[in-house]
Amino acid sequence: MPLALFLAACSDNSQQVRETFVSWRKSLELLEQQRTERHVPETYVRQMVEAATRTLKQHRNKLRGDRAVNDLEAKIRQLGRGPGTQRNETEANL
Amino acid sequence: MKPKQIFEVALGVVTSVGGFLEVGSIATAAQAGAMFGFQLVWAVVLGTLCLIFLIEMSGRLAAISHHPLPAAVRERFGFHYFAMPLLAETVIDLLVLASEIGGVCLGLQLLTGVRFFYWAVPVAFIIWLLLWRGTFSIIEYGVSILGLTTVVFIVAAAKAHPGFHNIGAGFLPTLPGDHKAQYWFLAVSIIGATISPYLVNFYSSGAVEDKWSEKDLVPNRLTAGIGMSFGGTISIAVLVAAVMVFHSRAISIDTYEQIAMEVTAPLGIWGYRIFGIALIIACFGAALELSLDIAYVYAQGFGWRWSEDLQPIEASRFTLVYTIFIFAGCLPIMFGIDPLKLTLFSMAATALILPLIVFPFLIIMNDKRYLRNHTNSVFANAVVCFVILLAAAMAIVAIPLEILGGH
Repeated sequence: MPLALFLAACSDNSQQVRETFVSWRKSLELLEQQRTERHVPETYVRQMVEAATRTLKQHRNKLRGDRAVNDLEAKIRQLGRGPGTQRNETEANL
Repeated sequence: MKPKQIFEVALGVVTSVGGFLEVGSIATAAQAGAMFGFQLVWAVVLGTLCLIFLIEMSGRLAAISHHPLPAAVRERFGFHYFAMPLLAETVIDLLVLASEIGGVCLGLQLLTGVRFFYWAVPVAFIIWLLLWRGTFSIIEYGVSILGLTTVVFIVAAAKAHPGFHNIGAGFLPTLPGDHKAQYWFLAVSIIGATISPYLVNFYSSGAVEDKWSEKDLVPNRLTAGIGMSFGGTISIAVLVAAVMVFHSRAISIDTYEQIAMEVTAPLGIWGYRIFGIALIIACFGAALELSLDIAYVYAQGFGWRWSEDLQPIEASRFTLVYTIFIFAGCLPIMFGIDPLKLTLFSMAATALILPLIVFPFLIIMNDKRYLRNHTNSVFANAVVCFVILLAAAMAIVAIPLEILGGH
């Protein structure tokens, strides 16, 4: 939840941040599946990747070296390698 | 009932259904479904039940006394009391209006890829222009009928085959094992999103604009009962679709954009497009109603001329109020405040102010000088009192707990 994230930012609750990162990774996995089935347009994939990247950048310092960070980062990169010019932009953001 | 009345009821039901769902009910129901499965269905049911009573009461007040609610409160309790709900509604309506503008902008972002904050000013301008140029009928019927696109959630929920016994189990409150503070916070937000005070004011003012009389009591009762029940069903559908898509995969909702997937998973790319359009229409309709509502509250409370059907020059102060509010409402979105955070906070805060608005309303509804022999039944008083007190008590406990980071 955004509120949980906000609170996590205040109280440095790394467990909540970890849960959020894991949830985001699963969300991107679902998105990837829907992209393969052509259920979502590329503009939506781009918006979701951007939203996940923002969350990651905002809170990654609280979980330095944690597996949840690496997994989410890998998933964002993987989705960013989709059609078009997304890859360089996403990787530069990360 | 005569055929004309049956048509009016059908139209009323359709507009109630179309106008029920907005940014708050979508966000809270989706969050609840993703995080707690079917466990918060009861909150939607309780909120809808209370809203049915409140909407019926506000229509009855307008039909019998020809007073909209704010005017009656001002007249019955005097300006000193009226100033309190006026202040509370000003703040809450502004927050909710900002959330609705955010919802329209997010719908546009989903369809175009252009970030939501770029849309804030154009959307605010179109809302203002429609109020400036349009009539009450256009706003009441036009936008609300288009709002039927929100039925897409029922289709998405049905296609996911949730199992009716699972949904039925959610009608009874049960506590989760973990995240209790968030559970109560979401329950409060759902009730706040469902029992929006602006809906009650807007409905009573609309009834006065449409010149309702005693013969409209039966259509009013049917419109409130059937229309709000269907609206509540759509809210439950949002929750159910979120359970099937997110809860089953342990995904919590972090941004509004994610909610689209609860429709795309069962319905594909057309589901995505309809979701975007439904979000725009539902939030646009609610933004129009909210802008009018705040202008109604000020104009009726201060005794100014008011009617959406008057030319702006004939009701200049009424027009000025919605003009200021619309542009103030677009500012948080223009500055990039997250619409989902804003929405959740606004909905929980709404539950806090409900007693301030509903209790004077109940006193008026039991006053024979206004309602003659159509005053409230004991049952209606009891249901409304129970839900409002429960929601306010939950808000007082849950909001600080959530802010303090309780689990």
